[in-house]
Amino acid sequence: MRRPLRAVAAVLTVLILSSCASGAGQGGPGDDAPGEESAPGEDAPGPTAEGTGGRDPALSGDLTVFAAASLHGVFEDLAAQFSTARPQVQVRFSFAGSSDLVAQLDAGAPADVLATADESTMADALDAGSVQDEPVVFATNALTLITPQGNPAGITGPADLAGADLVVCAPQVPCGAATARWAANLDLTLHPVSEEGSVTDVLGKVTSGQAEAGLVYTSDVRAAGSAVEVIGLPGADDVVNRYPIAVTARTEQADLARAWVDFVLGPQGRAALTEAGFGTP
Amino acid sequence: MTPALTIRAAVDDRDVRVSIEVPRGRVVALLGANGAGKSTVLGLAAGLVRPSSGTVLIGDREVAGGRWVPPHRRHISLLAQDPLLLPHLDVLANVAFGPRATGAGRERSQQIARRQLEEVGAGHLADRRPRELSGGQQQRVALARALAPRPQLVLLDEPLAALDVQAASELRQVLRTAVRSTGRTAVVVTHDLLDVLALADDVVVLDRGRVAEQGATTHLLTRPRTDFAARFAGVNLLLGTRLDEDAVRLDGGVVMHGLPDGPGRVGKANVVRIIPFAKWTTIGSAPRRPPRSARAQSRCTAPNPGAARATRSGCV
Amino acid sequence: MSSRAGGLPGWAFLPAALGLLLIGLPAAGILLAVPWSQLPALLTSEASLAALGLSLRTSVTATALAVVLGVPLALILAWSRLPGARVIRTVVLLPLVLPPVVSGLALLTTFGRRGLLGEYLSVLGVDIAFSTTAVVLAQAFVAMPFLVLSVEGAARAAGRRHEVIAATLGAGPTTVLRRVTIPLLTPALGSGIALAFARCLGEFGATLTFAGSLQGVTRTLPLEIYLQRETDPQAAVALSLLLILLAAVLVLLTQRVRPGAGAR
Repeated sequence: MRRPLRAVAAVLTVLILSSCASGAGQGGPGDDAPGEESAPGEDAPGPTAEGTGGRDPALSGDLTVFAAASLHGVFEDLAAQFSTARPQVQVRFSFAGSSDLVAQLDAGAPADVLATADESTMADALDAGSVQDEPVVFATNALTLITPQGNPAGITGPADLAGADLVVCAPQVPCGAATARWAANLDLTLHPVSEEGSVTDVLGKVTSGQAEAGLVYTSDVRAAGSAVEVIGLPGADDVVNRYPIAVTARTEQADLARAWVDFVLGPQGRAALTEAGFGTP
Repeated sequence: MTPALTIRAAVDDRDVRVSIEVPRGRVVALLGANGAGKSTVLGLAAGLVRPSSGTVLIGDREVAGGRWVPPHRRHISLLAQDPLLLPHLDVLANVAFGPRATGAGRERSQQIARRQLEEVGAGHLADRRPRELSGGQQQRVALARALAPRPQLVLLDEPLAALDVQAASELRQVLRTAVRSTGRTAVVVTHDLLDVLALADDVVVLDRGRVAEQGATTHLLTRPRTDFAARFAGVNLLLGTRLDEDAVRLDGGVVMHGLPDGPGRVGKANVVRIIPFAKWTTIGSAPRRPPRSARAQSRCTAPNPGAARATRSGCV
Repeated sequence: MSSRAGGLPGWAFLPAALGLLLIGLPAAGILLAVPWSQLPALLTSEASLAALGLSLRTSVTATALAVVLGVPLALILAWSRLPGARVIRTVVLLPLVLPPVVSGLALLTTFGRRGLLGEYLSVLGVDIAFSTTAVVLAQAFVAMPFLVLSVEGAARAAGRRHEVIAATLGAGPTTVLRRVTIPLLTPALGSGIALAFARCLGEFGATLTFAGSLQGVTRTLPLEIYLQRETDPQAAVALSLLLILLAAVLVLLTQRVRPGAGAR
């Protein structure tokens, strides 16, 4: 009777261990990544020629990066370049909503670098002691107005939004906060038909044609390709979201982590970010 | 006069091909081994089985064959082995179900139900729930329910098979009164000779999907032509009239004495059951033959040769 | 431990206990995280009440829809000899095992503005995009299998002997359904309704993908929890507690009902 017991215990242990490992490697709930994964064009190689970045073959190990979901495409491209220059290095990502990532770090999730989509979530991480160093802003993202392909509601600018089925982010999430600031700046009152929990959900409603208009980030538009039409947004530059990046407090390979941060801030990183629709500071 | 039920039909996938008529006001017993086709015949009458060819008539109305009349428009009732009372209705509502479903008003239906319950001796159960009743009481209520819509034809599918001996005996009496004595037309499927004797005017014997034999009950049981009927009748039962506490005059005039196993009234029809005992004698040149009693033996009629084999253990 | 004849071996209690812990601990964990002192304020905030009210309204409607459509479906599956019954049953039970997002996508590609039926619907002037109707549709979609499963099982087990008798008593098919079948299936119907209602209350993915999220219109309790989590985790926990309590009561109801299920 003892042996089956031990076998059961062993199985349970293995299950628990493996689930921990996969939990670190993948996004938690609210992972925005799948929406972008299907977008065309994201696999296009970065424009930067190999070798212009800091080549440092001495570095080795597995690097875990927690990054905001909107960075999915561009960070995957950058990781490929990073590893080409450093064959001993493997970069692994967890893409999720910024606040999820901060909460996971706080709960002890193993990560070496944190990159969020706004400064307030990074400030939370700093307060919680989850990151070391001062976070550095490496990218900006501005709002823009999009419609489904063909623009069925004939929208030409913010003035047409009143009668259309407009979908925006809820004020509780960063893109929604930016939307609210933009509307306040222009003294506009929006009447959205839906306030989504993430920008990916807004994009999804527009690409599927459910919504007639949506407010998303410029970086999302690139990923959506021809499924949407960009109308543009006056005053959008005043409410840009700034993306900070920082090395975590718990990392055991600070050198490798700093190398990644420098790489993202460097010319290759800037080029890739610009290509993906981000602004660079 | 048109028969109450006419079946001239075949059901190919069950290999049943029969021609049966049930005269108005008669009770016909349907006998046969398991799988002989009894349920199929009942199903044809009730509208639960469609004939592959042929026709079924209830009265002079065709209900299957050229046209199809669904069960609820056939004016027939079915009493099965299980009472199948509706557990969510009380006894009165169960019995009133039929009249209500066929268009009678609530008041009228309850009146009919009450009268019908009285007729089967279950008037005092009207307000009870089915689960509070014994098996015998439930079947009594089920009988009242089957009779309440005034069906043109009552189908009884082994109505007593699930009851214990005492309850079966009581309900058999009720059935006899409610069905036979009131001139209702019925078909009863049974495996019990007592049911046949108590209820049936006529008997139809089915064998492997065909009618093997049919005729008046007494005639068929006393002069069986098939193995099945002979074996069925070949038990030790004699019909007669009660003379006094321990004597019965058989239909042929012979008086038999024995021990009564239940109350019975003098002058009423009775059945004498003779229990054989294992005593073997040789009579003449005939092979060994077990007699039951000298007196019974003296009244033995010679069954036809085919039946002799089957009734080796006795005769009626 | 295993001395009782036919009893379980003693070691079976260990995995059983671990299994109970796996489910029980998170439930206990969220109870510990509930900010009890602020609970009344959190639960009676305008957003919470709007979400709760909307959830109850849509769940009642969706459950009713699931009953009206699901009971006949269950009875047909249980009793008729349809040629493709197995395929039909598989299709009907699909929402039970589909990830919620997939359910949402399926609804979107069918009833969405550019979906299979959506285009015809909008020609008819019916536009369910971002409406409460879309929420009800999503909930009915995921809840119906529970109802069908529960009713079909009971109907199959009961057979239709009562129905046959009722028919010979002169009751037409509609009368039989109304006065015999439905009353006899009441216990199974009750537990099916409770499960379906609980599923409606908990519906998240399909609603999010298909209906959108707007306070009082499409933002049900789970969507509100999802959103509150971003800024006010305590409010999210408080609302979660509410949902857990509702679910527990409903599941308890199904267990109270079950012993009577063998009434036939």
